[in-house]
Amino acid sequence: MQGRLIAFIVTAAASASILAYGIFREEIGEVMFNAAML
Amino acid sequence: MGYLKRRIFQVLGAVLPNSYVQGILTASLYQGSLKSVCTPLLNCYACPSALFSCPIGTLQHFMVTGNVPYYGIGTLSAVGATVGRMTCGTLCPFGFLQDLLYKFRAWKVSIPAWFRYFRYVVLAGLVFLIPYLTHENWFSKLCPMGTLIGGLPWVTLNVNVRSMIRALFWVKISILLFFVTTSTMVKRPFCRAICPLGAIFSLFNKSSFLQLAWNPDTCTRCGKCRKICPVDIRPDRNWTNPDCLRCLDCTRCPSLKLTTVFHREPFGVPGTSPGTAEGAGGLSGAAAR
Repeated sequence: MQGRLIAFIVTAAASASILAYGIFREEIGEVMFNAAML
Repeated sequence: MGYLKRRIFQVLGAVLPNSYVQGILTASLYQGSLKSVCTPLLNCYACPSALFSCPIGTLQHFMVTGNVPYYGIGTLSAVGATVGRMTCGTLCPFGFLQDLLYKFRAWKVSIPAWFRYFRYVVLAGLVFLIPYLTHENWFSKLCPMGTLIGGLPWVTLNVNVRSMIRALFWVKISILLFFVTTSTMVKRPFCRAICPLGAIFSLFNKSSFLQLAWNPDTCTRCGKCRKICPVDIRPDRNWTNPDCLRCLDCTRCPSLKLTTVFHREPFGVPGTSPGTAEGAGGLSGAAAR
């Protein structure tokens, strides 16, 4: 269970970092643009 | 989670992301700010009533343009790290459709567990590699959910779209019919063997915040949990199975419960568990349903 807890903390931190970096790169605008071009 | 409660969540998962009624009435797409949000469901954003973006379509778009989809990967991994595959089991509209289709009286068959590896091949091939190489959204072109709530409504609503029908449309229809037919015989065939979104979420099942816990002290190994499981697995043998949808149908048995990764002893101190073996009979009614 200790291993799972560490794995959760690592994956949660990594996913939050990747998401924040995506927002920082203004990918949200690209997502909206893609949805509008369908 | 009760059986009825999960069905209510599934109805909400099907209706709320597709509640832009004006899109159907005027044959147009919603282009507001909600389209910047990737919904953690297999829900086509080309559907006239779709409010959110498809996460798989978003990942492919970035691969087509030669960029790394940080926002899409970050969103999906954040959801996966929190709930694992729970959105597949409780919200996904295509999963809901397959659950309903399996209720039809038909010849029932099981598929081997190794079919799950196909979904990782689909994820790597049709979502990442082939779109990057060919600059075409190949998974979206073939997605049965896209055909059902995107392709078919547009063909019905718009004459111009109808005139653009080519051989690929009939391939898409064939794929949709294949999964509709097999869903009457096999539990959730698309989710188990093909779905790239499920493939991403399944990577987090072992380490997600929400976890399924099993109590060996009270479990009678009756196997009723497998009968009611929508993906035909035995949670008492592997409660962190990557196929597990976290639908919580099996938690009607007192030997299984939803817990969090922070709980070391979810059933209390061993040997003092309040659960009893006869409580496993709680699944009898559900198995017969």
